[in-house]
Amino acid sequence: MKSSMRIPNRFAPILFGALLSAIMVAIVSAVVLAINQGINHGFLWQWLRSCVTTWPVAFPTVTLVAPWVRRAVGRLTA
Amino acid sequence: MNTVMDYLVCALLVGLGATVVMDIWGIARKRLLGLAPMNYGLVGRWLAHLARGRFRHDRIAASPAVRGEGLIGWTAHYLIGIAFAAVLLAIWGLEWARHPTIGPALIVGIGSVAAPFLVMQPGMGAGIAASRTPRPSAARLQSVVTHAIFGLGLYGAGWVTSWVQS
Repeated sequence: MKSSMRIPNRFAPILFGALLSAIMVAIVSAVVLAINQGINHGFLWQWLRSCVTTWPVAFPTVTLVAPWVRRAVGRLTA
Repeated sequence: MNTVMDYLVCALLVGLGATVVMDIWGIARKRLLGLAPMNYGLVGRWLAHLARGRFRHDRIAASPAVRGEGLIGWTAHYLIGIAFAAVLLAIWGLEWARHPTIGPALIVGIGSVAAPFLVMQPGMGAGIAASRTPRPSAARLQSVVTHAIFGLGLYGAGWVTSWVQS
């Protein structure tokens, strides 16, 4: 990738949290909606709304919890 | 809460869609008129220097490059597009995103040229409304056309959004 498109390493944990939470939120919201309401023609709108509502919760959660999870996994694995 | 979320999703869809249309115009303009596409890396450089307290550059291309300036510039470009869509929806209401009309889209689109004319261009060393460039009127025309296309993009993305909502 072009070097002008690469941001400094210190932002890696935030970018990691942003991408991981976005992917999780997108998939989980779609599955929950499909199970609860089926896939009707309002599905896309409901899905976008769910993503926008839940991502602001998921992103800080992942970012704050990730270092703790890493430490816990480090202790539990050999 | 629901209205706030509707507003956010509408602003996101309309702003992203309109900015994509603007970028497609940038590519088409290169093919049709041979004009170089906008260098958002320089916008990123300007923003990074702005964050460190420097607004004015004599010539942004001559100022020190900043790591990740391309990513900063492109991200800002899309966020600004979303912000202008949010302005459109704040003035004309969510009803506009259900039944889009071209007037408000063009007013906000063409009006958004005030941002480069009054903020970015003077800050980056091109002068107010490109007055310090070799051919100011040609540069101004290109900016106005590009932002009018952004306005048409707002309208088109408004229709897509209204369809997604129905």
